[in-house]
Amino acid sequence: MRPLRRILFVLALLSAPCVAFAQQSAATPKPPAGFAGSASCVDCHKQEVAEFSATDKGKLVLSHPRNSHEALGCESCHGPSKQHVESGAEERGGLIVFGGKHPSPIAERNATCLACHEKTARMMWQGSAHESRNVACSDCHTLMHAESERANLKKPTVLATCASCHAQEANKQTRFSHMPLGQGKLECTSCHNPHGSPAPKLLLASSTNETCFTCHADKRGPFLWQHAPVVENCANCHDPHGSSHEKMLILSRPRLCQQCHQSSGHPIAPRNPKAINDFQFVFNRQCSNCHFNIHGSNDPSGYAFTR
Amino acid sequence: MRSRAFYTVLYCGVGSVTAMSSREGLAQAKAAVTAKTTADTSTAHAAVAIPDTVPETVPGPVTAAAEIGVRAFSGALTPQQLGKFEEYRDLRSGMLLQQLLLGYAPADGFRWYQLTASNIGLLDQTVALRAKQPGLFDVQLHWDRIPHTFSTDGRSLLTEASPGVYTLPVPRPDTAAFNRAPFIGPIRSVWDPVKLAVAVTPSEAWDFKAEYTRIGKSGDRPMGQAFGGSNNHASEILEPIDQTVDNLKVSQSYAEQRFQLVATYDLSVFQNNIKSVASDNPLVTTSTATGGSSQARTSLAPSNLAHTAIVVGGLNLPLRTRITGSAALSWWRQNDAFIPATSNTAITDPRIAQEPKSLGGSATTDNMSASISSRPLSFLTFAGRFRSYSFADHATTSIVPLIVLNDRSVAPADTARRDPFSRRNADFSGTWQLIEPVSLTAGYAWEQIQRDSLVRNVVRTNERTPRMSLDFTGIQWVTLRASYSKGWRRGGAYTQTATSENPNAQRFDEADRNLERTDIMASATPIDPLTISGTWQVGHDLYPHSLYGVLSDRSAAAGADVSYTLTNRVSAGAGLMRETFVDVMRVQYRTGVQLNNPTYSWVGNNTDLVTSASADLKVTVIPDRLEAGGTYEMSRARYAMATTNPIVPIGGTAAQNTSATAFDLPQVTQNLQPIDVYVRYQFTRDWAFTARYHGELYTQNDYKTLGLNPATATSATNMYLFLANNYQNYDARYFTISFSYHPQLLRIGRSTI
Repeated sequence: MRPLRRILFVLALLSAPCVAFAQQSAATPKPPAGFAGSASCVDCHKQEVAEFSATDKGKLVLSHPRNSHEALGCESCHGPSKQHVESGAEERGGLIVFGGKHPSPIAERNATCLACHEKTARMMWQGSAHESRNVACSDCHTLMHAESERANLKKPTVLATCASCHAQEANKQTRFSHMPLGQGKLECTSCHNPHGSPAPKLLLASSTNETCFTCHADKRGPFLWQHAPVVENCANCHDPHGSSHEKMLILSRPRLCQQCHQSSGHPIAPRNPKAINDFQFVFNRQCSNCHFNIHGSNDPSGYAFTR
Repeated sequence: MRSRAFYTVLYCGVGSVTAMSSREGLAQAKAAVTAKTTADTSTAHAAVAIPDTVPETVPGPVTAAAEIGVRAFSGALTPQQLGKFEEYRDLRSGMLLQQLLLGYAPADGFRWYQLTASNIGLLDQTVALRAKQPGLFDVQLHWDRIPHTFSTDGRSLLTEASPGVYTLPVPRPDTAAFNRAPFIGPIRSVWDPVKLAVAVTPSEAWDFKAEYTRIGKSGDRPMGQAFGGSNNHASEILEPIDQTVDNLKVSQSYAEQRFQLVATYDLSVFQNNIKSVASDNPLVTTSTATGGSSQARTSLAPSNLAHTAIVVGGLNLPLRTRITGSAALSWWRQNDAFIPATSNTAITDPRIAQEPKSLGGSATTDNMSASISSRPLSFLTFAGRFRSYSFADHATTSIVPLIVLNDRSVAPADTARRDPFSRRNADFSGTWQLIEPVSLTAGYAWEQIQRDSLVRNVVRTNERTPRMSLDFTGIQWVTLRASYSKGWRRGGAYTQTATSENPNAQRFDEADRNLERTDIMASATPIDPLTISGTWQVGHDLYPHSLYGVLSDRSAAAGADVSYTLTNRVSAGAGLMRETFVDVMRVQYRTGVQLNNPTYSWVGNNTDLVTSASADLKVTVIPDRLEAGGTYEMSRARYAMATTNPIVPIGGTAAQNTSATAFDLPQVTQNLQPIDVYVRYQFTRDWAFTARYHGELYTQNDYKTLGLNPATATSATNMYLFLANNYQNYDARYFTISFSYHPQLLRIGRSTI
């Protein structure tokens, strides 16, 4: 079977369930016990409802619910409000509160979100690094108004959202050598899944290298001549968040290379920047003046990565 | 720190021209909702009438937005100064169609279609098409050009005769002629990622996603090409880039309350249309068997592909227990034809004909994981996780019958070693919620890496890292997160894989290591308008059993941010962060018979210092009429590679002693300071005029590239040809003025503009 046909076959196979299940509208005739209905919310929370109704989520639960849960409107997330309403807002009752001075416990808030969203990218939330540090969904997301272009973030961009806690990583975007996150061409989520993943560092792919190969597939090989630390982990030499050194290296050459290359011969001389014989080791691309194919060479004579 | 997006010219004004007035649009939206409510009584309690407080700017079904402006420089930069200034962007002067939005949202706007574009016609333009119905489908087509300018001041006499073939005149130019070489213009690559993503949710249980991304890469970037041997010279040329990366990813997920499953298939195809690059030898015009080749040729990245299949499942059990598992298998293929072992036609060794034609490259990775998380009591959470990752290389070719060293000498057969390895991780933690906002976590992580003894010195390492963390969260006015971890990595016996290796040297990724990390992050809002946050991170990696190699790595970072809302018209913020990294390494210069001369040791002390600061201010002079503000950022870095000999080198020849004598490498400094000030005047609620001033100061002092000549002869037979390129300093000042028309609330989602 030709590759294109194989791909189409796989696509057809995977999309079959989509065809099989039409979108359902499972509305409930009236609010269940304990629920007051969203109309009650508008009386006091006009501005909030107004802003929420303009968001995708608002349109979904307030006007186009797909099932009985979404048909609860505001209460689909905030829980039953009847007691709250009937007490004239004196009592919280069973309400789940995501912000303000006295929010509900984080586990309770997160469970509310996961009740619908514990699937696809969020399947591994429980037990993840963020969950174990008591991070709430509402620490990063807000549904009540559209602050970000997508993902209902609390801040305009993913970078700004992550920077709330990961200041040092975000700060590396200002270094001499960095990827274009500040220009909006990439996002933290281009590489990481903050909701948990089977890989270390919440990476999207199975390993650091496989994450990098998503764009830098030229480094994937396999090559005839492999460079062992490259095969194992790009982060052995690079800091993908940014660096003061060229090529986002963790240390400038030749010192970077000399950390490992202690074989007799030219790799291990300390190098004098004023000595003409050390010129090629110290200036410009330093070790890579000659060892260009340091990520691996597919040249029969490329054993030293110079070809 | 505060927002890092200071490179981007952020335009607060959003232009929008609607097909009907805002009030009409609002009326229509309300009518639609009311109609829906009336018609479907079954959802009467869900459909909520939009309150009267909805801003009057909800547009009608058709929305068009644009921002048009002019950019002008005060004192233009020279073309050679544009390298860093335009590293990832295109900031030319003249008319600008900076932002564009076209939207269509029929009926009540539940389903919408949108075209957005920015920086239209420029090298960094973005165009996106999107169609969405929340809860049912989301289709996106996104084209985002990414330029990467490496420099604009390179000089060379090389002529590109055909893609990837660089020639020099005969007779070869001398050093002086090379140093008169003309500028060759921007050295730049451009990526053109185009992504089509389809997400369909036909029911609450099923999700289908398909993504196809094609990244076209073009342009060139600097590369080094060695000629080697006794004439140990090299030339810096341009690597021509004509590549594509095609990624297709399809996934299907099924979810119900108790059980969730996602299956994903990912195909990645890399195609390099230029397989090698060749350039003329600046010192040799006639190839000889031992004197070198008149032309060197270097292979470029071979085309390859990878298939990856991933299955992830989750199961919810009683006692708030959840089990997840995943399996990912990947298969990589690479079988590009090898280029000939040498470009030197004077070398006629018959073994050249016996060279294998291609690698028959095949590698597999597998990643298996299982995790369990349980919260049997409301204040107690346990989590455990195991992961196994392995990389196996199944290349059919490993023995290379002949290697031609730098096109001038022949070495015997060699084996191209493969590098299989595996990595296993386990992690266990328990979290005790002391009182509602305070939780204490104790954890233990283990990592084992297994490597091949033919390639690496240490076959197996085990690292064990206990950790503690304290999190004070869940109340609005204060957050405190603190963690401490201390780990130990220990390896087995050291195996020397080559006689030239220093048996006392340990590579940093295999060596015994003691690790220590402390992170503290705090944020407080003592009074409503004031928020103060701080971060403090300290790390220390000590390599206790390494005589040579990396001895220690230390890092420290401390930062603070303050934001203050003076009144509802004035807000300001400021941030400061200082980071330090210190890497200490010891190396023994080993040469000739001086393999174990203790006085030939030297110590490298590599220090990075980075200071970043920011400030911002926003003032609403006249509400809904006149606003002003600005941001200032500063990033200053300095790194030094100090080098010393603990003992004065003695014992060898004078030349050897000199080579063993340590010298500091010169200090490198970098400094970037952008400032952005704007004034916006709103004629009406929607129409606005914005004037901005942008200033950006960049200075660097990097001995590696600063002041290099295109040609440097180190002896009669050694010459180094460089592009002599460098990110030049600049002090850019430019103005933009723009007109926009922006509704405060766009029905079809918030745009990026």
